[in-house]
Amino acid sequence: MKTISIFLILGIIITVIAATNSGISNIYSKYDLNRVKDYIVSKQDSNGLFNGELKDTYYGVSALQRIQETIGKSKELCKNVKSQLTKNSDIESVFYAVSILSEAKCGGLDASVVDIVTPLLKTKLASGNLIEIYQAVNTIFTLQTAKLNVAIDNNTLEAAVGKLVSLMDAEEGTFKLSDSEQANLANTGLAYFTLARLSHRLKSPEADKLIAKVVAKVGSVMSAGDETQGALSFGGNLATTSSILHGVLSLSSVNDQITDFVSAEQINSIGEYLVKQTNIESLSDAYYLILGLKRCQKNSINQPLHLNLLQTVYSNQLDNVKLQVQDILGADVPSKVVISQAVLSSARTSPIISNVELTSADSKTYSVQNFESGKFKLGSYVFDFKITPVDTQFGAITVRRVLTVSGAVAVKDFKVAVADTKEALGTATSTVVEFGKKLKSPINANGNQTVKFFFRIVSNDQPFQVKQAAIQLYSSAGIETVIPVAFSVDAFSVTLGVKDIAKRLGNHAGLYNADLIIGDNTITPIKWNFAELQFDLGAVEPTTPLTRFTDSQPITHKFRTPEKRPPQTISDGFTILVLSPALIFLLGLVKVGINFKRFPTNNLVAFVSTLVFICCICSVGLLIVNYWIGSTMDVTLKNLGLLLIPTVFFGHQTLSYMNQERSLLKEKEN
Amino acid sequence: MKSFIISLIIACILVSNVFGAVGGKRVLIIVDDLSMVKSHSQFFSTLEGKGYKIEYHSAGDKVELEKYGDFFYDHLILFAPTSDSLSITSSDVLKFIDGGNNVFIAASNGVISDTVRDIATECGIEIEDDKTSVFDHFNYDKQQSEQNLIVADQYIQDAPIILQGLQTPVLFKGVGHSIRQNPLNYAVLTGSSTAYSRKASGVATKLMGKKVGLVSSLQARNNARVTFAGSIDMFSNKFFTSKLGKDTVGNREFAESLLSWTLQERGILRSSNLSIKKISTESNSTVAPEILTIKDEIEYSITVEEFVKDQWVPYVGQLELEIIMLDPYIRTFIKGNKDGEYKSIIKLPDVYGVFTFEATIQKPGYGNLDTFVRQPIRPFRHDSYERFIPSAFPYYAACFSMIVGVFVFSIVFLFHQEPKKAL
Repeated sequence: MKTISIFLILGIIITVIAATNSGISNIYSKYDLNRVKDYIVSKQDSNGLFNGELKDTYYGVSALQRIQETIGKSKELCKNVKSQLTKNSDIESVFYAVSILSEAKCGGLDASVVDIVTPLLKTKLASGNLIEIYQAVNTIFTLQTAKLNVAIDNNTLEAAVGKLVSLMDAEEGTFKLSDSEQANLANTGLAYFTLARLSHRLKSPEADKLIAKVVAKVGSVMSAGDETQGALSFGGNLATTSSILHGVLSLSSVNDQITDFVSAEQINSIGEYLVKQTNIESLSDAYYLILGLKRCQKNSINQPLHLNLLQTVYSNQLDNVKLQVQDILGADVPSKVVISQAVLSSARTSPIISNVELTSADSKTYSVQNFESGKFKLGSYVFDFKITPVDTQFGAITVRRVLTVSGAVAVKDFKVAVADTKEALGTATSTVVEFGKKLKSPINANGNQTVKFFFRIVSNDQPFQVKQAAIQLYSSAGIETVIPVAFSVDAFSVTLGVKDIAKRLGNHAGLYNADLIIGDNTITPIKWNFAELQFDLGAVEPTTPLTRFTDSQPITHKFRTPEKRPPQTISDGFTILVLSPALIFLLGLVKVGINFKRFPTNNLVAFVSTLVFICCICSVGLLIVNYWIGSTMDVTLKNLGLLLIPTVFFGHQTLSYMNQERSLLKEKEN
Repeated sequence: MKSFIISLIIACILVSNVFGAVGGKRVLIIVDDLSMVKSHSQFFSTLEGKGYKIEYHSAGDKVELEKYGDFFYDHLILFAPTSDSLSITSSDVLKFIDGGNNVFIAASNGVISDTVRDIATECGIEIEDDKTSVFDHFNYDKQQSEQNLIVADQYIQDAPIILQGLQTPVLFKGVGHSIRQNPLNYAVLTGSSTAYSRKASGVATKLMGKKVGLVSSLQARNNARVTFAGSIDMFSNKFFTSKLGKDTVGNREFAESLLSWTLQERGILRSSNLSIKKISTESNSTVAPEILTIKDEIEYSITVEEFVKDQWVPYVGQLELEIIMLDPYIRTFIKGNKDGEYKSIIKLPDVYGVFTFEATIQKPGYGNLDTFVRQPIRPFRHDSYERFIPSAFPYYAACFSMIVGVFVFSIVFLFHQEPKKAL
């Protein structure tokens, strides 16, 4: 039970926080509104029409009318629209033409027009789709506003209410264009507005009962919006969002229950969406934007308010808080303004002031009488304002704003110490640098040492904690690093080994400039070049290349050098030596002698065998020469193998013949 | 008539190839909220003006990037930093990048979805924590009280092709990031030395100085490009038309240059007409003369083109050629002529094997060009060496005298004079 209670309380707290109305972040400025106006005017043609179309002319004229701007070329406009009204007999053209003639105060809406359009209006009320009913209903009211009698009875209008309500999706509350189509948000705004107008005119319990069904589903429609950064939109476009806002607010004027389904915060969020729509790209957008802004400005549910601080940054002292309370279009809204509390942004639990009312002599600019400016020194302050409009119809809003008191700070007790170890830093001699000056000689540190930077930041002799405190080291080669400095108690300090610093610098040793950077929203920032540091990192190789792609060096191939050859004379000498045994061979031959008479001439077989045998021996010699000149071992061996067969065979034949001859010769001799 | 039509079709295809776009024209834009299409309309209109086919979707819409390996889009612009209801996952986007497509992501200083974080991390970009902003108390829009609306002008220096020499400072309001030390990552825009990253609580993070990345890109090895911007506002109509004093900020030019580079409208290289011709050889062999042999003198030539303004034009620069067999044996740098032709005469090494001729161009901001061809380099045939070495004459003499001797001996053996018998 206890747990349930806690959850219930938590739920209520969360709901309250979520439902807090904090107004809109900005107004739709006159500058932006003028741009919209200029855009609309730029679309008007010489014949008075906008973009040459009735539809765009309706958007242009209606938008200008709503911001009370004069419509140019009204004569041409009225003439052309009247001629279009007589030419075209479709409901869309009739609706646009009648609306333009009414908005532009052209006159010319008379009984003859009513006679022409009444049958069309009746038909569309009875059997038209949602847009056609919307157009027919609005045409009827426009004609009636021009004090013309349109002969359409209440029964027809009540039937139109029934038809419209029947087009509502029972679950989602959105409307279909016709029975056969899908319901969407774009139709819903038009349906709401049409029903509101019909209800206002009919004042019939039957119609109101039907409309109550629609109102019961408004909550479902509102929940279909997309909320991004506090801005609520429908269907992601301006036309649908504005149309739904217009429709819902119109319904609220005929049915009080609507406030149960539409919250002030939702109207505020739609307002937030509208003020962001500064880029207008069509006349339709311009019309719906102005329609939405106007409805936000004046309605019965909520009036989005903006708290405009005239100054948010104060120099040295916050002398007073001056602000304006404005509606969405920048008009002043008389209100009661109270500072609920103001706290230092870094110490939010202790309010500096609370429940201080701001007053205004002219209901425009509010300020505090007898403001305790002495309480607000250098720093950022969070102010919570409660704004209650004088018009009791609307609820209070709570707005949070940050005010900054800026000024100058000074650096005190700046010291740099270098020691061999971290522990030795306590006893090491520190180099003191006076704020604003630079050390004449560089501070040397090697890779094994440790460096400590120490300083205080003061404002009016009081320690001041800044958001950004850092030491920047940079070299002429473009290498740099920024080292954050931490705050502790009342001073800033950082202790770093030179190795760690070198790592940040990619192990690039050398001379570095050292700057102290001090920054905060509330102070004039400081960048002070206090010294130069010379880092000696020994033989450590730089790790980070200075260029994106490492520069490749060309590679040339080293060819093997050919072996040294002996001088030619030595080779020639050896050649002679090698050939010299051939002389002995030749001398031996002379001694042995040659007897070609032994060549067998009387025996054909022997003759052929001997001849072939000699040829084969010649071929073997030539084959070896051929191998040496160009052939391969494979080819040579194959050929040699083939040649050996006839060589051996014919050699054998020859030798055997010669042996026989020799034997015969011996026998003869014997 | 029929042949004329066919010729016309072929001509059209050829022309479309010559003037064809790199990377395609189909763009998917995912936004947190469709109202962003309006608030950033000037940024998106730069694409529409160039003929891109754009498809807008809000973060909650069901979107598919590919099906059965076919990508439906060529480029993805992800302007939905906060939405956790994205129908595409980080792995879908990474697959998209692996397919050679380009991605442009913008974040803000609010909550950043895990999907966006994962994509950035995979691309070498580490985004700061949620609700962290970049501050610079020295360089901010002095017309505003917020010192996180910083004026940034620390543009990338080593890749001028990305921003095309932009000097005008831009307004930036968003989250910072750091990038990995990697030649593929480009810090397109960084904070100045005085910038730092700060949490909503007011505590400064460790990211400071020029290490604070504002806009960074990845030029992937497959030529896909990914850009991450820490500020979605810097591409809004509001920032495009903002002024610093009397001068207009450079957000529009910055966005246009960055987007066109990311979408591969420039800085893409291609090669063609690669040829290796033998000019001279030390080999005496006449067998298969076209095959490369050690110590051959060859002419290596290749044409390189660059994609500029929707057409391919000659790229004039420097090309690195390596002849590699496990290790590079030769590395040389070739300067291109005005027609984009790179020619060099090279003597092949006296080592045989299968060599790779690898031509590369590494220029910051340009796509990778890595063209390689493998060629065997053979040793000399046995008959390729010089035939008559004067120093070897004693050996030749020995061999030939032997051959002649055998022949003569054979003749003598057959027809020798019989010794006369003593009477």
